[in-house]
Amino acid sequence: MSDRGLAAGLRESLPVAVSALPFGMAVGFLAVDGGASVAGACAMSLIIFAGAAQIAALNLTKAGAPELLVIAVVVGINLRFVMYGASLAPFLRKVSKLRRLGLAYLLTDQAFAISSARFKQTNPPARHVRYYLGTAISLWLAWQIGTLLGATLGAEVPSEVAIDFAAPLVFIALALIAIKDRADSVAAISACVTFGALHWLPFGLALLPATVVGIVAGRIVEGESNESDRNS
Amino acid sequence: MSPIVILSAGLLTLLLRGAVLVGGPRKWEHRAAPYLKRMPAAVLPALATSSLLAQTGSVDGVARIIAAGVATAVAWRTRNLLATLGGGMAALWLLRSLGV
Repeated sequence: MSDRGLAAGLRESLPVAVSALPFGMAVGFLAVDGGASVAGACAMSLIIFAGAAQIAALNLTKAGAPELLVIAVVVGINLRFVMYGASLAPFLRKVSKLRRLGLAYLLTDQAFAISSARFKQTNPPARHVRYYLGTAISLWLAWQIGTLLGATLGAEVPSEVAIDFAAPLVFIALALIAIKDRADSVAAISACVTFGALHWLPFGLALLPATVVGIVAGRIVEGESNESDRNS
Repeated sequence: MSPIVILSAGLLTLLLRGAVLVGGPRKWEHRAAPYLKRMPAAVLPALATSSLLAQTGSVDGVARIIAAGVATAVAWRTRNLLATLGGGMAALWLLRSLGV
């Protein structure tokens, strides 16, 4: 049963992992382009393991930004991991602290997205850990392989393939899977509108206010429908 | 990037990732639960918008926006990851071959 969780996680995250490859390649290429060795580029992906933050940090470094600013921007972009961790924590608490640190290291947008769309309170807890681990490991492998390929071969994937278009498609599918009722729909639309309005913020930082507005909007609608249920 | 920057950025990122996950359940989590429940529905569409808008500057930007619309319709009907990937990719290739 629990092994099925791992296999299911690996299998169901495979298309997502493939879509992360060109992103990893871009990071590997940018790092080498900025003067890093191949080993340095791979070390960065192993140690930081966060795509958007790595690209922002590489661009800032190339532009000659002070090191403290680079670190601050990485923290800003990765603040969303606190929210992801809080959302997954109730499902992943059944293992030791050290193992949870390992699970935390592997946390990504995609691993969170796939797991949170699938997790249910009714599943046995061990299955949650295994399933999450499966999704997280395939993303980790894709990221490290992509970085190595980009650092050694360059970032070019033939544009006819449009493999990078898989990234928005994956998030669109996972978003629709995650929307389960009217409050979720309101949360989703509010988050998209807020993101669109704040799109000018650098490095995708609009993700944080967009998520907060979406959550609050969904919660307000939920509260209203609960009230009308009680009144009717 | 210097090794110090990479190590500090990596360590701080790990702290953010583990902030809630590694610690035990906290008192505030009970009150936060109804909000956290809505998080996937809020953050995933925002991530979709984010990754789509990052690609609209390319030469086939318009085709990508239309194909994303097609994919949204497929995802709405099927709630299936592979069907959405297939539908969106097929729509993009078709639109490109039509010269959009």
